[in-house]
Amino acid sequence: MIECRGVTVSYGRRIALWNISFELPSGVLAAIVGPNGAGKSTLLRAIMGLVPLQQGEIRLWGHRLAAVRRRISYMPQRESVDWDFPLTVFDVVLMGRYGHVGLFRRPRPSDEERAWQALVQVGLEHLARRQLNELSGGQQQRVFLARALAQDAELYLMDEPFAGIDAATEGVLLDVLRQLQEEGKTVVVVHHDLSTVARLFEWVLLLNQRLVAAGPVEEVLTAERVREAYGGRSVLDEVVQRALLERRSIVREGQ
Amino acid sequence: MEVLLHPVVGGVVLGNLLIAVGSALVGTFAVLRREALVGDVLAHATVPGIGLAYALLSRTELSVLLWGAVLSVSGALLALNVLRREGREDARLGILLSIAFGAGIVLLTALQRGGGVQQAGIWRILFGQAAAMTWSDVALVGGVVVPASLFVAVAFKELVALAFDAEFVRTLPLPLRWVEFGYRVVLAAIVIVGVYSVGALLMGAFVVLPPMAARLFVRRVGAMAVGAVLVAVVAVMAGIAFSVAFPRVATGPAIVTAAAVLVVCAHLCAPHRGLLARLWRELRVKVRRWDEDAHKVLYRVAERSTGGRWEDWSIEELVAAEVGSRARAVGIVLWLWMVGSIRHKRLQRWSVTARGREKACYITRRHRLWELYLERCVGIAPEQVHAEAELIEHVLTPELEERLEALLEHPQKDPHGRPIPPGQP
Repeated sequence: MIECRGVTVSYGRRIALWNISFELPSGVLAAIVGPNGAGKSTLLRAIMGLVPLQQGEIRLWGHRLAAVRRRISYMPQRESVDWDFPLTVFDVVLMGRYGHVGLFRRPRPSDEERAWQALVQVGLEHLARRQLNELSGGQQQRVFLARALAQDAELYLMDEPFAGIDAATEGVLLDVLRQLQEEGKTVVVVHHDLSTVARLFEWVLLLNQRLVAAGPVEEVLTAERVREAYGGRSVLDEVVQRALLERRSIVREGQ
Repeated sequence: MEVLLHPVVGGVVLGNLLIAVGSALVGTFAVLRREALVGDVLAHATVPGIGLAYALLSRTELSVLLWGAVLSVSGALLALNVLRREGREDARLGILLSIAFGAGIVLLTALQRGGGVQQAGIWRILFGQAAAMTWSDVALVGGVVVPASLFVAVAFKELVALAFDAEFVRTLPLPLRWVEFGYRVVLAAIVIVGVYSVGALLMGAFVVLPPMAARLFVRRVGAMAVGAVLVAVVAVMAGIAFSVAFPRVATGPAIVTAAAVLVVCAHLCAPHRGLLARLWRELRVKVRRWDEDAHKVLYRVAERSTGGRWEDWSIEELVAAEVGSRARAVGIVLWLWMVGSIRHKRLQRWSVTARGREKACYITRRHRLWELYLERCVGIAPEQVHAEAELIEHVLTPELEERLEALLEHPQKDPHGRPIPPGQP
């Protein structure tokens, strides 16, 4: 579904991604994992066409990005915008509908209805008329989540949605991910916490400028590969081992 | 209205007002995008173009010379776009501004030495000729401002989204690159005609000052744009009035100064965000603390006097209660009397009113509940809880107080063994 072939991206002389090739099946909940500066966000941005590819090609459902933009929803990092901005929560969520509304048109009642549903889904409907600068970090993250949901896409790309959020927001986020998965959507999440990867996701891209491995969690997340990605820090091995054991026991219980 | 019909003054007022409206609308987005300096670069970039046009065409009317500015400002826009990934943004903009402006001044002074340009000519470009606008100038300004304002109105939703989160917007299936391009063109066009009014040196500032003032008062972008227009109009009228009253004062700089003064006033007076509002909030907190502390003293005096007496005290009893210095005791008595919590009999004997008693119980109750909570649930030693409670007692809400009481199972005594006064029935 997402098909990357030989993707290389650089910022000036610094190479961010080197010769990345993988194929992500449709309908999976996938995590992009790797150390700081591994190019996790850059990979999402490359898929979204926000950074130019130096080499290689990305295909989505076999098409170029321009043909399928409407089917993709992108959720940037919370820190990427200035939250001291004269807008209300609802204004921002409604932006998720702009791709459907079209240029220079006013949002239709159905768009407002959909934005409202998204707001309810993340549990922020009571803050709809609130100013952005009155929100907590977790609430900001939920506003972005609602905006992404309002887009009604088939593929969701989320940049660090779990970074710096409270327990309530994490609960909402997990519910949303589960629901998207049930609806058969594909979700790709940049994730920084190795210890929870195995529990939350079924598919993993292990990244450190080049692709270390990509595939189902059980196959990819071996101590050896993680060491390769993170540069042989034994503490991490332990974390991963523990997480994998946990997942296996969950799977066994499930069966 | 009459002034607008005046053959000379009418043109001046209308022309400047048009520029004010256009620059306020576009400037709203410059401020929201944090691109104040971009407008400044473009404004300074008008100068070399004007010099070049003069050198080539030897005409002096601004309506002709500004076509040269169109050229050099386009060059600056192009340079901004090409260099957008190079170096740090502030350095990039600063360097570009200096190059453009320096080159312009070199050109103009060279022409002046050659005997072409008069001193007044350079002055006119740098500080505008707000007071010398003719009706044909007004028509030209209108030809720029009206389409620019229409663009802002039509693309409002897109401009807001781009200003808030350009990266997200770029992922949408919309050709927003053209809206972005349109915004740049409109900003450049407004800045160029702004040379008429406030001149190349100050137009960058005039674009962003009114929206900056409006930003402090509003909660939505639409209101901010309207507010910015209002501020800009007021600044123009004030600037013109000032230069009419003092004919030696140049109109353009007077307009910009008026706008700057309005920004300062806004920072002082704006509700919530203004300096005075913040000071007022702080003062209210302080006064409330003082008031509650004073009432706490009342409670303590009653508690320590024989038989829990609420009437017939002397000031000496108050001082002894804990207040310490006599001056502070007098201050507290004066305050309590002013707010109607105590009354006196010939300034000698003092009694607590019903209202004073209620407040005294209320604050003491919260203090002691919190002390008990700290001791029982947080595990802080009894001798340390007092200082903590001194701070928190002023900010406890009635709901929290109720829940505290329930949590502590309606206690009678605080950690020091003193009674906790009952709440309101």
